[in-house]
Amino acid sequence: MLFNDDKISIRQMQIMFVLDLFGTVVLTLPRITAETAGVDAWIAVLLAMGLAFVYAYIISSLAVSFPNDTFVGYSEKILGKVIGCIVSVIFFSYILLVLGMEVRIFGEINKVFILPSTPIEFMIMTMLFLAAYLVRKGYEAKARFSEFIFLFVFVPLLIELMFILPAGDFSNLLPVFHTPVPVILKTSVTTSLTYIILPLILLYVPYYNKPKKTRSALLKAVAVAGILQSIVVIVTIVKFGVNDTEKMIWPIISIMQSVSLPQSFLERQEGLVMIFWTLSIFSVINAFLHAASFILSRIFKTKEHNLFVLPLIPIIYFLALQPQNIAQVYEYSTSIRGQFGIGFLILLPILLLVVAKLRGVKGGSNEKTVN
Amino acid sequence: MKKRLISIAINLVLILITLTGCWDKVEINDRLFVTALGIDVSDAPLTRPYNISYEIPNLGKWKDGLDIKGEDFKFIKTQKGETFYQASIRINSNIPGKLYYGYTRAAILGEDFTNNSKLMKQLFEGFERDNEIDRGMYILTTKGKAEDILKAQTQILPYTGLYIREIYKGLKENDFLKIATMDKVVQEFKQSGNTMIPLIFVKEKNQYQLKGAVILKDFKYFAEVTAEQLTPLLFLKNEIKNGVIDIPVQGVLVPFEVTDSSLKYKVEQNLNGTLTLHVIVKAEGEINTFTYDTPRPLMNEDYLEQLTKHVEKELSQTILDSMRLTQKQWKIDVIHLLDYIRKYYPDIYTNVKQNWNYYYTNMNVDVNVGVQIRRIGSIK
Repeated sequence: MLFNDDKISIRQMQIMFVLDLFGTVVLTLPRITAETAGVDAWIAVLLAMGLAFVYAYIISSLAVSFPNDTFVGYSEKILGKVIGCIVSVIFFSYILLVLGMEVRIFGEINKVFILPSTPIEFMIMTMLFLAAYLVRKGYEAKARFSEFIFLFVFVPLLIELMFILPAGDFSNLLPVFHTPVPVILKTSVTTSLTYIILPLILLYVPYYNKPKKTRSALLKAVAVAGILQSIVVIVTIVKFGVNDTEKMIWPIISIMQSVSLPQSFLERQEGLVMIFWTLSIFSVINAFLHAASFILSRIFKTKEHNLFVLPLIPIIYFLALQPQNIAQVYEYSTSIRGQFGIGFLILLPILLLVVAKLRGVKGGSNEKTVN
Repeated sequence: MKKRLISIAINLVLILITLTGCWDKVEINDRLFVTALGIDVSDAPLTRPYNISYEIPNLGKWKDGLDIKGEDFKFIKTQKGETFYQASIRINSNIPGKLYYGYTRAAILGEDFTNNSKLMKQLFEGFERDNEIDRGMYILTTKGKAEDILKAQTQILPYTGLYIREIYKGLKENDFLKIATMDKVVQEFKQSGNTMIPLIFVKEKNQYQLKGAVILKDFKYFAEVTAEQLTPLLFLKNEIKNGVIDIPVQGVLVPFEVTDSSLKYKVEQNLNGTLTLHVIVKAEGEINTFTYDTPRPLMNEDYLEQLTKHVEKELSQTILDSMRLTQKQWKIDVIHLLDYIRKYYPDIYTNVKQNWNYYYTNMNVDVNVGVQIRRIGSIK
């Protein structure tokens, strides 16, 4: 297939991961960390980044040891046909659940901040169809899309944050290191589960032009995303203080509402920020949708994943509309992260690595093609 | 060919449906921009306690300058409601167009309203929850009805909300005005339980005047701060850096203009448990008006030194008086010292947070002022 055979560069892969790691959590991160870790939230975020390094290291070890195969292929080789297939199906359903919640969050935010009278169902449908279009164009198209939007997402955001700092109060970050250590550690563990997009790399290593560099590239991507996340958390707390931050449902959007660029004609920037954020959430939705259809195509051993994209849409639509209210959306996505997150981020990769070692399964370099 | 035509037709229909079906379209001329809100307690406090006044500029007559004649340059609409939100819904059904709060610059609370903590709490809760209302909206209060403030037909820039914004924007170093924005007010209520909001009046000849402030405690009117009390308080709260201190010399008052200053707190806990607050002030400034009857020229270093001591004494006395006012008369931590202790002295914080009011009112205050008179104008 024209699109699928194209390889992507390691740089493109890095950009994709930075964008998606950042996009999945940035909206709620200041709140979920400030709720428990208080003023030391940013430390918890940095510690979570440290944990994410561990996850990324283990996951990429597994991925790199089978440079010509995808997760579905080698999990069957390592664990046997039946169990491997079951694991793949669980992985697929995990991705689908996360995807459903991401789509719902996209709809909720649009409903609240931009389009109050538009039905949420309509926003979800249009978003899904748009994502389906890009997914059907293949992985390489997504890589190029991410490369294209990267600056559009981060440059305006960082400029906005710069304008917030002078109006903020840095003493809101004090006292430093006064939260009990176990509390910070616990927060950083829960925060590290927001790196839910890391396991997706298990699927795509054969697409990278230099698979051996996957690990260092992924670690760098995690570092960049982690630092960006902690900047966002720091700025939010500097601006609002902990008491307010932990009460806001979407702190980053509230921050944009409260700032106006000096001497500018535009007084309220949340609309502007929403444009850039929509790009990043589109990228995230796109990544998960691609992964879901890709796993299915490998389970059913079809050559293309295109077949599965459209049939998945009604399922995701259904999942996205399951939560009855915003509180449930938050609860579901936390529990999905809690239930599956630790399994896919650390337990499963370790299990596969150990069993592969014991059974002597090796990713041969004989297979030249990916199927 | 037929297949192609059908696919084009389907696509066109889809495009028509998806692109034109915008549920949220609001034409700009259907939108009524509210520039200021006046919030009072209505005459039916049990059923519809809120009496909300909306200031809506008449965009047809809109002028951003001085030359405004006639009386229809703004509309004031009033509506009673169970809550702020319900009043908005009610008024939307009475007037053509949809009210939009994205550009509301100020909310003025009536005197009765600030006395009702239940309504105040609900109002600020609603403001925070509403995502149309700007978190940087200014909060002010007045004596009497807020509605009357909006209704005043002032000559220069008659839109109350914009007037207040322009005043704050052009704030010079020597105008001692308290500025309270919505997010600041809410934050201070949550952290310290009290906040201060400025007072606005309508002077004769229909002119606005911002003078003094009001302390709110637990979302309720607590005390009034006169303009004279406000300046040192703002200085203590680190909200203003400059100011003018009058020093009596040879029977006249000489203004010492503080051009730059820094104020730091240092807190110590004594052995008997009480606290000592050290207020360390460093100020520098100039003398622009003196007197011909001076015993010695200002250029004389000794005399300048003597004057400096004088200024230091005056300044530290002002600060002490101000602290005493909050400790003994109001008995309330207006300067938000507890929040400062939480940030900079977490160990002391754990000891004192339970019984803070006792610790605050019994705290020793020690003021340490260092003044530099840098310039004296163009004559000796």
